[in-house]
Amino acid sequence: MQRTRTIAAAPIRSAAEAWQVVTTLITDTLERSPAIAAGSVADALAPLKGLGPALIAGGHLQEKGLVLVDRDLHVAILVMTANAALAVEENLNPVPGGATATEAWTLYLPEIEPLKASISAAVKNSKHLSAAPPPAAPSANEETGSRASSPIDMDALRKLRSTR
Amino acid sequence: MDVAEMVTVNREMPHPDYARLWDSIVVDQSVKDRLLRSTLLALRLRAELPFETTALHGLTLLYGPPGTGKTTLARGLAHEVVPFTKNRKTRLIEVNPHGLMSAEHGQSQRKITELLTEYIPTLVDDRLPTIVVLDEVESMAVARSEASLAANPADVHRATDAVLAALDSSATELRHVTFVATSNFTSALDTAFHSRVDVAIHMPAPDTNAALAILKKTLESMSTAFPALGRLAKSPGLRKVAQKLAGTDGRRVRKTVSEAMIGRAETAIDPGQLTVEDLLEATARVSTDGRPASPKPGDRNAAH
Repeated sequence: MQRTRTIAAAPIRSAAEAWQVVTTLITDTLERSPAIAAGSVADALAPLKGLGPALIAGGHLQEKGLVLVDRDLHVAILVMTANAALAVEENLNPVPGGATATEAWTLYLPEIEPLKASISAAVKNSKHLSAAPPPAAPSANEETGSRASSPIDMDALRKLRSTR
Repeated sequence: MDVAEMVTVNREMPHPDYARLWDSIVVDQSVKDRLLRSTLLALRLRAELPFETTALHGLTLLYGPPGTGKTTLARGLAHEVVPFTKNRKTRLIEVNPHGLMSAEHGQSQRKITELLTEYIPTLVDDRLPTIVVLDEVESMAVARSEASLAANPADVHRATDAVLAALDSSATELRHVTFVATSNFTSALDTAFHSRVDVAIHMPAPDTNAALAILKKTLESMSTAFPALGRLAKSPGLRKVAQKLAGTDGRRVRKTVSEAMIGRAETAIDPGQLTVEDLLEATARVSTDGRPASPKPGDRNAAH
């Protein structure tokens, strides 16, 4: 399912603080999964330490935003500034789908002309960061997690008491 | 109130606190069978087939008068499903819908959407088969046709719309989740909510046999502290008491025993001295409490 999380930056909080909120949201979401090692998400996001606040301060994450994608995850993370920040209703809880996240998670960054070189440098050699356009969110029937095998044990079900 | 506070229970099953709930409710076995079978079938079919084929929303409605055990049975269901699951584990989530309704404009809709499409999906992210109990669901899925002007109908519309949209979303995205809604007032529920219900199961007020079974069960349970009540539980005279209590809600039938204990100082001191006569007198007091025992002729809902 495609989800969106909107975070308020200035004047609610500084660009650096807003970036910290973004990284915490991504970390809390992904590290609920047993497949994701604790601390590994912060390490993967480290190349964005200076770039993230710059993207926020320039208002570049207001419309395009970051997109976190994995098997059961497709979440756009927008960061609003100025008047738009005052109207944000934040939901900073981990995003549904994170508990089944895999090592293949990817954070897609928008292509912003003035920061293009910095973005390319940040994603270079990163397994989890990308400057490519994010894939489209799968429709409900395409979602891999939602069409899992039945949770019912058929042998146990066959023993279900027959009354009438 | 934060939406997280509206989830009053979030527990993995099996859990010892929930092990006896299912059996504690005295109702025709067919009611329990329907509830269990429909839940197991929905969990299986919804996982294996697309929504377009099954048209199953994963929504069961338990309806009937107050005190018939709807909520207890819904809670017990999560425990009852455990032996039929591959991991021998399920989850029970219970929502307090009253906390969702806000006098603030637009807040009910926002809270319902956040709870059902963001918060609960996070809780069930581990994909354990899950039962979500929506107790007294009429408070959140209000019949839009009945919305009163005095009660801000625009907000009622929006809140009901949010419930319906969330149920549609869950139908396709949370296939391991079954919602069990309970209601005393089905006429207060929106027709679009009714149409999303996969199975509606009536929980009737106890008839004579059911009332007798509840009385026996209550006395037997109390006999662990007062052994003489075990003998009273076997008394043929108990049927007379049950006849008077038929049609009364199950909770009231249980409370008749404690009501009888306070009828005399001797039984208040030693409940083991309780007699059939004490119980019969208590039924009269229950009647004058404004909760008349009214047997329903032709009631088929006997307990086993």
